[in-house]
Amino acid sequence: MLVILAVSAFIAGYLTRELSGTRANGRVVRADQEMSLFYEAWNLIDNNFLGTIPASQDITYGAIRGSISALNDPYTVFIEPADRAVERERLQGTFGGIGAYLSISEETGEVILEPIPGNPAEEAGILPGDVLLSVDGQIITGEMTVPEIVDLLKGEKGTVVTLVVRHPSTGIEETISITRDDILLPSVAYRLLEEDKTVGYIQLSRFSGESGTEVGSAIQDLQSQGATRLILDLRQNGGGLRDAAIDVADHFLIDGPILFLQSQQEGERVFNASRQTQATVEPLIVLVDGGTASAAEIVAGALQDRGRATLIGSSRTFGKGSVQLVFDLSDGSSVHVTSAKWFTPNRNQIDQHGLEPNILVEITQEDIDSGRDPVLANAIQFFQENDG
Amino acid sequence: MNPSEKETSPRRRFNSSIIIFSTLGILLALGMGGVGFLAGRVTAPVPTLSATAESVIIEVTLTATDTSAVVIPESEQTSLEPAASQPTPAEEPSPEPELEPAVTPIAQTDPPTATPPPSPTPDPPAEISIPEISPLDEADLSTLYEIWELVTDQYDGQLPPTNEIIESAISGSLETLGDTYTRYVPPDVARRMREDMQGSVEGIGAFVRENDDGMFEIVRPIDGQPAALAGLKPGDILIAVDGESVLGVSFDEVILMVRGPKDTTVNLTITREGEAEPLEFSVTRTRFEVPVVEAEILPAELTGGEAIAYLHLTEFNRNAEDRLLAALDELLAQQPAGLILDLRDNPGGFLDQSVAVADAFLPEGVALFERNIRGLDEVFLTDNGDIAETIPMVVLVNAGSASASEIVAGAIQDRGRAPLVGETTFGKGSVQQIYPLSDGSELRVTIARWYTPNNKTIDGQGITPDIEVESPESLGDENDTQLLRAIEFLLNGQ
Repeated sequence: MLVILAVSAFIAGYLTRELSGTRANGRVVRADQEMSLFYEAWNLIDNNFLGTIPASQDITYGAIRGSISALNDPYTVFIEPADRAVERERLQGTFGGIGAYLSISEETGEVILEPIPGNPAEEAGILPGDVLLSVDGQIITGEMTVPEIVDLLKGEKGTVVTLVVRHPSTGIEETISITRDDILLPSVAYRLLEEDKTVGYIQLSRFSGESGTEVGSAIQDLQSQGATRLILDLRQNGGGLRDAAIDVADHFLIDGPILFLQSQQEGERVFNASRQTQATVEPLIVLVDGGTASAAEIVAGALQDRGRATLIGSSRTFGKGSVQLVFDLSDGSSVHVTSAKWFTPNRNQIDQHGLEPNILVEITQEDIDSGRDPVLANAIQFFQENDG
Repeated sequence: MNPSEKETSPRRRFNSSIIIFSTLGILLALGMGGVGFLAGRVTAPVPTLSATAESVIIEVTLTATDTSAVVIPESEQTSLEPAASQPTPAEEPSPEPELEPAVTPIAQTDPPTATPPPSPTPDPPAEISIPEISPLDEADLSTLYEIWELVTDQYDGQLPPTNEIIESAISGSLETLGDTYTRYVPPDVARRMREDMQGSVEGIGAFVRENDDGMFEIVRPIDGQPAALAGLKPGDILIAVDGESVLGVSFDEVILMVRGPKDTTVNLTITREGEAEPLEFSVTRTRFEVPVVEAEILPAELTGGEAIAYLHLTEFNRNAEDRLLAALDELLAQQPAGLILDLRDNPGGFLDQSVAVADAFLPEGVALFERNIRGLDEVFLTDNGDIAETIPMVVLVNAGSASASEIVAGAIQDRGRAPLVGETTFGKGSVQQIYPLSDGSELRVTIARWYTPNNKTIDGQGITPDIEVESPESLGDENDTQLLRAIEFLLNGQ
């Protein structure tokens, strides 16, 4: 099941890495003398506090959050087990479900389904706009939240969930059983632009494990439909996996550096583009804004520095030039640790500065009110003016 | 710090006093941007506390930036402390030799940076494992260690000193209690607070607060003190101290920057409305007593010629009882027809002070009850024969009247001594005790609730005045509608 979780401010560009036998060194905080102050405090609390003492694990998580805040680094963070599960799905791009978006109608309060083509819900007969009435016998009520309903719908691949839905066109209620499968949560949407059928438009919303492949097939499909110019829209793309960023950039670059990584632990590493390139010659514009961050900045920065793309946007990009490693811990929680800085091919450090678009486009309140997109319009115009 | 000491120590409530000012700079910046994380940084607030041994406080949080505490003493330190909805004196503590030596020397030798000596805990070095009584489970704590191994190994940047990490871990873990008044106070802040409580500090002589914009605002330079003499005015915004910007610096740190030994000089850069450029002031610090009482016979034009005494108590510090009684002596010698006790914006202080203040106006009876985790009731009493038990009286309160102020207002209201005029009070009905920890820091723990003589708790709801009058723009002038209403009551009896 897919959820349109509006939430998702979640991703902050990082790389994952196997947690394989990390070494401890001498600076590690161990249960020795320094920690005695911690125990001293908690003994006093335990003996005197007027109120309920939380579970040991909650206290520990509080201590972890607190101690990590001492680093004063907004990107080194602790994630509790429940949140970690959600995060993992987002980053992998897949999970077990029925493959439909779910929303609550503002007018009627009803729960509306929108099946994703090629996924189990659609194949079982769920139609766009169907109203969800019950899940495995449990009636959907107005009090339930989207995440609660999603929890009912999600489940292991291969298991069956039975829904009662009402088709809005006919008013007929129908019981439909759906076998759950791994659902691909697409990070890419693409199309030929109405305004100019030679322009292929690819919107990438985040960098998940599938993004490289998805962008690759999007380019291929657009090329076969006749696209000779491309727009890659990275606005409001908050980042994701570093390797996905490299894969995406690699579709547009032949050889040469995409980024440099520098860390105290490992010194400098360079990540290069390969020779296989999907879009070598098509003029390329990358759309950015203040929400273009992290992995998205890696792609935009590489394409800009290498002269492969023109950046058009309404503001500088977010400016996150650090890289986090994500470690899964034994209790299901995880920790993101800032472990490196990255630099663009021209060795610019973008932290806090962001990338400056080649063309800065102003968005007026009027544009917003009337739903216009002057940045995209500017990109199309740019192609027309620089034709050939 | 061991519990048994506390229980056996008998009450000696009436002759102890200590103050606590605390304007809590609670900075709770936890934001999630549209993109990426803004990680939550949780900074421990900064209250002030009392002395040695254990001290109990009651505190309150007003808004995000304001807190009040009531401190109740154990042994000798009973205080009700508010963490100030209001100004906190921006002066630097100075060593008080007459104070308990156990604490003071540390304060003097430590660098102001608060980092305790690298060789920690003089305490029992031998046992390190989790004490049996601890609510903590070793298995859970292993996650903490696991994470710090990873961070130590992988973090691309400077790691903070271990003691800072531990302090932050303690603060973070205490947040899980869901009680803003139970908190850890790092050594340097604890030291400052201890000094504040004595009512006499070394500094520039001005009250400073962190205003709604997060700026450090001079609320009031104290008459005749260096800040006032140098020309600082209310509303001035402090932007740098000795050339160092205070932008992004915590309230506590700013206080520590401004304070210093007497006869030393501090350079302040301020911005002032109407001035295009920042102004520079060079101020020589001095030792002064923090004023807690303003007393006068109100001007005849406000009272229609009747003599009405006005007594404004700004906090319940260690000097509160003495200064209040002295002021009452002077005022009552002029035989006023009535008395107005102004507790507006008084964030509290020490419990014993609140009892003593209430006693000045009340005959024999109950001042408050205190009930702790073990269900023990403790009764605090007032007695007969005090200076102001019979004069017609009105008490002014507002939403900034917290903690110790609420004890006084609650007792006076419950016992029918005088009407309360103004708006509903803050509503802090818990009591904190202060436990000094082995590194010079302090732990403030909510250990009890207090109840008014009619056995009501005001926690979370405050005290509703008998005569409600909305807060005026400014207090103490001819447009102070609450004050005018109080005068009217005294003149007309209604």
